[in-house]
Amino acid sequence: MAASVFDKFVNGRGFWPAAPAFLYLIVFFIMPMAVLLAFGFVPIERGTVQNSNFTLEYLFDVLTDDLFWRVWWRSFYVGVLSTFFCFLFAYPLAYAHTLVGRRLQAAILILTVAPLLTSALVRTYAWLVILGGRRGVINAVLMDLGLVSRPLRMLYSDFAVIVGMVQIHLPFMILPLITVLSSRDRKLEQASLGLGASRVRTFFKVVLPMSMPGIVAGTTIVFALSYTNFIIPQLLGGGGYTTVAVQVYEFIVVILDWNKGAILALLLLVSCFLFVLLVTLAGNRMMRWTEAKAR
Amino acid sequence: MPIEVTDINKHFGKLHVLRNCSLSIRDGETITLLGASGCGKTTLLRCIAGFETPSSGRVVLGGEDVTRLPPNQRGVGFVFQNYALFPHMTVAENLAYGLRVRRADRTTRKAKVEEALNLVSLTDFAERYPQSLSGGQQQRVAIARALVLRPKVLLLDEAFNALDAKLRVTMQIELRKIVKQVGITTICVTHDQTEALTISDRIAVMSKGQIDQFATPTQIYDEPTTAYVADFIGAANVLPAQFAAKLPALGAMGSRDDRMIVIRPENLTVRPTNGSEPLAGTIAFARITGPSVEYEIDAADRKLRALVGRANHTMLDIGTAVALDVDKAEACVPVSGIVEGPA
Repeated sequence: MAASVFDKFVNGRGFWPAAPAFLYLIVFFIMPMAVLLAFGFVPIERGTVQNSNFTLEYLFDVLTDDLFWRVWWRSFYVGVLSTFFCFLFAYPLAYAHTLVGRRLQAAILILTVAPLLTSALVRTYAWLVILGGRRGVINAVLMDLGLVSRPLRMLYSDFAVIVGMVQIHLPFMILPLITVLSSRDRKLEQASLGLGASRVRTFFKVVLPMSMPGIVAGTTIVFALSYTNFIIPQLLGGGGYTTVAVQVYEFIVVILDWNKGAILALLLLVSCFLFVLLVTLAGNRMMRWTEAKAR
Repeated sequence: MPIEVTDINKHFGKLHVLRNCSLSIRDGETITLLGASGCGKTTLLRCIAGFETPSSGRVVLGGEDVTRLPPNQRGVGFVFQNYALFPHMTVAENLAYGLRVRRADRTTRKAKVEEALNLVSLTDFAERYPQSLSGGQQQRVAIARALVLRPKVLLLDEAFNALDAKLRVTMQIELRKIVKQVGITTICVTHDQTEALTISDRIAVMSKGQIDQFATPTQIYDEPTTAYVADFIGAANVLPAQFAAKLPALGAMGSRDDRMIVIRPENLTVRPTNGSEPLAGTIAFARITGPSVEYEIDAADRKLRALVGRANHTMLDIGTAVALDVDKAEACVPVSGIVEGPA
């Protein structure tokens, strides 16, 4: 697979249609990215490169800082938990989508895609209203019903951040799962039942493993989005709630320490890439069957 | 295990796809449900397997009424049209799947999988994925996967369809040997008459959701009970009784108007004449099929087919006036019903 893509690229036949996008990415993504990352290794003060002496000092500073690791750990578990809950909610929904009639299918699809038509920022603010203090929707209802006497503290916590992440990123898990589940061969489930397996066993031994491509796609997308999102932690996590992505934003835009910001951005990018790679490799191990040559 | 199917009816909404289907199948027998597409044969098979529940009627396997049981509690082996092998499991894992469900331990599994692979001569392919096998190999895996559980009944849904003509015949003979070897009651569904004649002890010919005739291949061919059966199996001249009565050998038979008479092309005799015979016609088309000559004859607004052995026969030219007769009166079989559409 990789070899054939490379061949096409080198031979140039597959390249030309991709050229405009490629050029665009080089100029507006790869080059600024390279510049930003380079900022992590040369001294910069007040937004100006002082000299071009390469130094690992900033990288070393960050990696030996306990605070960085604590912040990184928070980014990581927020990413993992958001992905996990997205999967937990998305899979049954995507599975149900393949069992119900056409009307319900359309309804599920519309409800899944509709939030994407509104700004994620607006939706995040909406969570502020829902989860907020005394006058937040949930607390107001609970207190009116007399179920609680003091407002519950939900906002500005891991809980709020993960709730926001899951809601914002759910469609990116649901869509690949629907794709892979609705194209599955139902005869295989009948075959499993015919061989004596229960419905539960059939689900775990046949349906689930065969939806692996969709699981890997959804998981990597949602993790990458959650791990690097800096708006949701800022708004729903509150002032003291920092993740690596939030720190990148603060160092570059607020504190104007570009050296540290660039190093953090680099670490965020590399670790995200590593995680995605890991999931993909693990997925590929479970999907070795997809490589078997079809006749 | 004997199978009793009694008065099965099946409705899909307004469609009445099975009408009072009854079959009584003996232990160890191989039968075929034969019919054109849409005749309900697959639905009947799926009712027996448990993938469909009949609207009324009963399915009894070996004395036990299983009509309401789900497929996983019937102990029936099923081979799907496109085999439905699990693509994420190797051949050995596919075979072991049902054994795992039954909590067979590792050594038992290994031994049984080995044995089943041996039965279908696929021992070297245990670790391959199904997608990397040829159609014939995949089919054998599907059969082995069903047989490894030692079911008392084996059901095959158009299992030979995806194979090319040559391999199909080989696999049919192979299957017949295997099922006779393990002595398993087998029901096949097909629309291919040759396949039905090759693998069956008895054939149930179906049309429009009904079983027209359930008999041995010889009976089905020699003594069809309906015009549809006669026409579906082999070539047949289906003629109104009044018309057939003109054949000299037939005598007084066929005086009843409402019946149809079936005459196989090979039972029709053809000889040149001046035209004074009771049933004469002209040769519209002639061709050599190898051992015999096939004629298409226009006689009294009807087209008849005749197949004449070449041993004592010189091929006649197109346009020759011929007299028609049958070699023996038994060759004319009265049947009910009429043939629809072009024969």
